[in-house]
Amino acid sequence: MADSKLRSVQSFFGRHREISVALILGLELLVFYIILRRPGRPSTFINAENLILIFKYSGIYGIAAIGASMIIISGGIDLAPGAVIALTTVVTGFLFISLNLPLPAASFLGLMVGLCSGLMAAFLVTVIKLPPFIATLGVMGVSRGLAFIITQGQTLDLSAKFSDNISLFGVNNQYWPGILMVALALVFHLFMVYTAWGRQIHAVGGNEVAAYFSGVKVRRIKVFVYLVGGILASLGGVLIAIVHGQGRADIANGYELDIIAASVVGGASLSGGKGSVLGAVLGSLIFGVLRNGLSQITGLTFYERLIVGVVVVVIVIIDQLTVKKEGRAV
Amino acid sequence: MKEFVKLNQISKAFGGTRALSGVSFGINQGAVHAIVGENGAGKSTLMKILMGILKPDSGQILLDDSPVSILDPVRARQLGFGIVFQEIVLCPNLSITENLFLGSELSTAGIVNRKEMKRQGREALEQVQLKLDPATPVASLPVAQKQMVQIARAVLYKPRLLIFDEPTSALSSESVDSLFKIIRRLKQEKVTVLYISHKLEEIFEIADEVTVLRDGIHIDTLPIREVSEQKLVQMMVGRELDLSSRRSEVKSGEVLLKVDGLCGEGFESVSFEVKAGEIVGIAGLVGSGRSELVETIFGVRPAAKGKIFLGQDDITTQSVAGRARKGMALVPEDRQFAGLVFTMALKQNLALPGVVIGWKELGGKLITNKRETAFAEEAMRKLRIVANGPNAEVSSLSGGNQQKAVIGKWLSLKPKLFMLDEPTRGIDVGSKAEIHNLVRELANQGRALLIVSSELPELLALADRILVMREGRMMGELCGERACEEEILRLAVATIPEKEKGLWQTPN
Repeated sequence: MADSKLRSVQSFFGRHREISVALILGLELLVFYIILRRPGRPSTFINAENLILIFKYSGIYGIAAIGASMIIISGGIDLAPGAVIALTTVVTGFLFISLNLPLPAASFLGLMVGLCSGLMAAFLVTVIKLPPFIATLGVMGVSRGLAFIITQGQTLDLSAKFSDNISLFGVNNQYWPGILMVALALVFHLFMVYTAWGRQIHAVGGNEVAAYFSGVKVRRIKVFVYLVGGILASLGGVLIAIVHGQGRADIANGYELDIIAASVVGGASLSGGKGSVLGAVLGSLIFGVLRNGLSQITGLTFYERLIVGVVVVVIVIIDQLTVKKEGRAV
Repeated sequence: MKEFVKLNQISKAFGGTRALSGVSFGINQGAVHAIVGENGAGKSTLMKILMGILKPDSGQILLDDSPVSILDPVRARQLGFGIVFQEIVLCPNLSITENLFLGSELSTAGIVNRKEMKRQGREALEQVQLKLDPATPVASLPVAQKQMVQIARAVLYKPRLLIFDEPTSALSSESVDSLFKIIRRLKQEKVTVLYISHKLEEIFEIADEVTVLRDGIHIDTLPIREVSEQKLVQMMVGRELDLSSRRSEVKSGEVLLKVDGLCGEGFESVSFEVKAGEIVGIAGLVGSGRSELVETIFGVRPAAKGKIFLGQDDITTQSVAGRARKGMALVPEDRQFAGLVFTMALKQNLALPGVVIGWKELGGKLITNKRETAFAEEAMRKLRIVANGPNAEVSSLSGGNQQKAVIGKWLSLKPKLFMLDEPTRGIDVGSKAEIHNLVRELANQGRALLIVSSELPELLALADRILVMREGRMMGELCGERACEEEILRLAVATIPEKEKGLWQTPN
């Protein structure tokens, strides 16, 4: 009786991974709220200003994690997002400052960085048949390298040319990373769950040969996910350029692993076929909240990375315990 | 003869399902003892208990009349129990010797004793009559020889009881003869053999006694000469089955598939036609290009030359999805590798080709859970797929039901030309009969069927015409009276003299 109840709970969380990730996020918010509570005074953690800050920082990760989780679901991996973000900030900044292009044009051309890097990764994976790890490692090196060559190590300061508090459609730029993250998460989540293309991405990741024998155009699917992954990473770069007003070659260093971690925490399996776009975005928020909360606890500066690392492992362990295991005898 | 191993009231349950309930029987010393039963009858569970992989919930195993407890595989090996698995479980990157001693390398003070391993390995290979250099990498061996290496690995430990689990499912019929020679030799050396197989003709050829299991219950154990094939099948499935009836009436229509001078990897200059309402079989040895041919017809392999027509349309350059949309389907040879996506639920697997080609009943390119479930449930009903609902994981299905799922993927799309590559390999006799009936029914509905099979009795029972391939060429066509096993074999292996028609001459 208790056994079957447990099993039905497990199968529920197995099928609705987003809910368990959201629960973890809620728990995390609660823990930090309690830790950072100051009796008699308003919370520095749960307040509009801080939540906007969390969304602003998590948005960059979250948007890139949408693409990364799609790539992981298709059975691939992407090591390039951090470098692509950096190169995008540099290209956007360069076009805006040195070539005096208007910001929308510079931003649009910045997105082309992601298109090109995505194409390059897709070409290496589908035509040259390199393992995705190596292919995207190459793209990462090339992108980061180009960013350094363009800037010669200098920081491009876009904010100097901005008028105060520039906004788009009347919405302050500070809000855009969060808004875009939420909107894109919903769009791509629906895409992955309800469209034939989304289903085919899952099939390719689960068993490429069986997918091919079922009529799936495997190569086309792979090109698609790497393109989306590249463009979304670039969008993150454009947002950094605009919101933080910087173009720098060493920005977003190591983001690729944080993004992969967010996807895995959100339910993606690195062996492909399984995962959730929404879960990956929630995973990004979990890390965003964690960093934000830890930074408010005095004396923890040097412990931050350690704690983040432990949390990744713990969440994945909890997941393995709660998700129904395949009932094999041996 | 005295009983070597005796099972006494063995029971085992997984969760709510009883895999074995109170099974008792004895295995005579030095006998070849066959165990038969449909998938899910409990054969694998029983074997795993004997090998110490599973522990029984209750019951006793007696070895030479004294009770033993087999706690783990190491203990089973010490007791002299060995097993040859159905699947190839070798490391392809290692040599034969390295595979033989995998996990139990001979060593002195931590340093591997290559010389001794090579010597013992050579001895074991001789015992299975495999004349190969033990340093050969396993990856380069054909399936039949890999299977022999597995047997050699089991023989290495000088077992007193050797279990063969569906050993012939990957072997062509002439390799089976070599396997039987080895089993007879083992028998001479007083090794008791436990032989598990779906193929009844093999059991009648090799076994001395037979145990029938059904739904985890021991039905009977008796000497093989006291039982007929008909009777055995009846005991296994609990009802009478007809496995060998040819269709009485063939109403063939216009030409549905026309293959004209087709060349591709593994075959060349193949031409033939299949008409609506016809069941055409393709026979040939493993490696004769049969699978490559049907896969090229389906478009998963490129055609080098020649043309393929479906009805009036030239589809030679179409994609797989394009061909599927036009009414073609292929159930591939390897259902694990090419048939199912194990990360997706049963219903998603059943809907996959439909989703790809935008099947209307599934809602075109947009998938709704409701439509998909209904679509899957219909396929499950039609094919009698036994599963824990449409959301079941495909890995939880038995082999027969997995194969039905692969067939179901395509059946719902109502293909005009249905190609099935080894549709009943390794599945139980009940599912096999159901698949045979389905094939006949589809042909009666006016579909064209093209069936590749290594089992000649299956082709003879099903096909209206049989095409025979050898080394990538179409050797001839047999229909009606002329189709018999001897004639097919003559075409399939013509140049190979009778006495050499052994394992190692398989053209590969």
